[in-house]
Amino acid sequence: MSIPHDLTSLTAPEARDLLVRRDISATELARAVLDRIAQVEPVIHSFITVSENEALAQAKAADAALGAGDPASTPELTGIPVALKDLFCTNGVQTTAGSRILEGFIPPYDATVVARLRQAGAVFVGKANMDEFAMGSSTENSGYHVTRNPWDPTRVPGGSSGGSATAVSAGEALLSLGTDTGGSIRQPAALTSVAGLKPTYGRVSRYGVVAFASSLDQVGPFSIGVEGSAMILRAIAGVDPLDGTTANIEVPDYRATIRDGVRGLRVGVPAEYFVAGMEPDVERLVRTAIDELARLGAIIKPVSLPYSTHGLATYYIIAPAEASSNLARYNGTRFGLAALDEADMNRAMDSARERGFGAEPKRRIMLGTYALSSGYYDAYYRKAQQVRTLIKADFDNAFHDVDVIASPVSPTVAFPIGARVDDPLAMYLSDVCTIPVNVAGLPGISIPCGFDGQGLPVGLQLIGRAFDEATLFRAAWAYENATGWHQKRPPLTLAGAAS
Amino acid sequence: MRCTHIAGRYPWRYPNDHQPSGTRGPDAPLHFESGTWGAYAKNEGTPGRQRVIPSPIPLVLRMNLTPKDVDHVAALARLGITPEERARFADQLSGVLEHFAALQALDTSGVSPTAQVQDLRNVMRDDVARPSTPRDAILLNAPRQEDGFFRVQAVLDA
Repeated sequence: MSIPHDLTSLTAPEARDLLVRRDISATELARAVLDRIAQVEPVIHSFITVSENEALAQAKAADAALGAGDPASTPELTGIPVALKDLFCTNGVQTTAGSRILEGFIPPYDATVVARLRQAGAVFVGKANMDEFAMGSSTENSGYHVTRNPWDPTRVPGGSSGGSATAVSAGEALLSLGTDTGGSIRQPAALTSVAGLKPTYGRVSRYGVVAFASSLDQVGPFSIGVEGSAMILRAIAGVDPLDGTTANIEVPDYRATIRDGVRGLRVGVPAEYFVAGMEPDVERLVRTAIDELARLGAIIKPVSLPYSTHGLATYYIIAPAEASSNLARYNGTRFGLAALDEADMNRAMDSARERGFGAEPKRRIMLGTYALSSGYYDAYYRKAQQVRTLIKADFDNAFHDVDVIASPVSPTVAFPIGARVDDPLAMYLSDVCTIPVNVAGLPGISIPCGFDGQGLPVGLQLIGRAFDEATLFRAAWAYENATGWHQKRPPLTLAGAAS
Repeated sequence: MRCTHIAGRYPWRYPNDHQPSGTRGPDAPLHFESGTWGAYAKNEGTPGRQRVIPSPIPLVLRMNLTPKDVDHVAALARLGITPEERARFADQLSGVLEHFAALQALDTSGVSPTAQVQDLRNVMRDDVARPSTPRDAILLNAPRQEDGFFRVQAVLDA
């Protein structure tokens, strides 16, 4: 391919080709991305920390590697600029999880995914903004600042991995990593018109990832075009002795099969996921996308996932219960915000947590503690785990008849900043179509499928069998190659946007 | 009991014909005023789990949390909250719990719980010593330290 005027418009596979041919250098690419960050950050606020010096040093090392021998034999991500959600521990670089309680926390080690990306030659441009402890669907719950949607800066980018989504959408990184506990990759991907994958539970290590709900959390990528996500997933996936939940299942070469098409692929459409009250444009665009898959040779079949209608309630018992346990460690003793003015140990802990946590982590800790408290455990937590069994069984049944399930990602397009902050339940309902996938531990991908009447992006969700990300990539690539929706980039008319 | 009409407040709901049997329809009111935990447990055939810590929250599966309940849960969680949060959380958490009430109507007798989706047993490594993160590196993040230890406030009376 030819070298574009703006290197930040490159997809990751395009940049890889140009780097291998030595048509561009990793330093030029890093410089272009850092300049783009300087240009758009005053409006978009994708990052909590921009690591310019580290990025340029890594880019220099990448150029040395590319010049040392056969460039094609370097790791695939050599010199590719990557943004990391600010809950991945990065040795020597502040990691906050979007919370003031971790302000100034400098991890003394790398998360496994960070270590693997370093090995693969990636260039880390910064730590992306997020809802505090990954709790939220708008990135408004960040303890630092609100991230804005590049398609309309008066609207949210979705969340909780909002900064990771906008960084890729606005050209501030070619790839990024987020986490998805109930939709936190797929929903912001849909709202910002990028590809976002939540892999199968157990596909990617969570070692060194700030924990939210341990039976649901999973690490995954964002990219323009799904092939970039295939590149980075291959680099980070696989068994890790430091995370006992990672599966010892081979990681396939996703790019090798990504162009194989969807002829004969059986695609299930669950009526339950077209919830009443869904915006008409969202439903129309998702159904049009399913028609397009049929035109490309897929076989469309109705499937039924009746227990998914209880996904939200199940999730909002299980996730806060696990969060209330995971967040117990933030008490100002070993790291993070401490109440040094308190003379009493218990009061010091109460006080550090009162000052350090924002409203949403407090609500979830309260909900989870209540659900696990004396006399309520069976009625809430055990009940939710039983319903979880039923939700998963529905998917198991459906996957006897189909290979992939297609649905909306979010019932609405990006909503205005402030619209749902004081109404937790309205915010929780943003994830009604993505949550059952986490509850069942399955892989799900969000890809752009058009724009509503106001020009705001809409996403298509494809759900796969456990550890069958390869089929999701194949179906997603066939769709985007036929429609080209992923090539539309936000106009980013920076003048006039509030900062 | 406060019983907000969820379906009216929020535009999202499932189509009537896809509501699983045994649950309330999206427009039906919630009925939990008279349901006690004891009666619920009896219907389900699951014995209530006994714990030694007495709860000041009556064992009635009700959907509204009072500010006093909020205080109790906050104390269990070692979580300081402001007076303003105390009132707001009571209201907001009640709304969320109301929404979850639909789960209670589901028949799950005989269904085993899923703690996590993978069929994993305990994952063990060889019991061999290996290097760990140096103490000094860990203590760099300590709010207070002394002689290579974390320093904290007194836990016991002097």
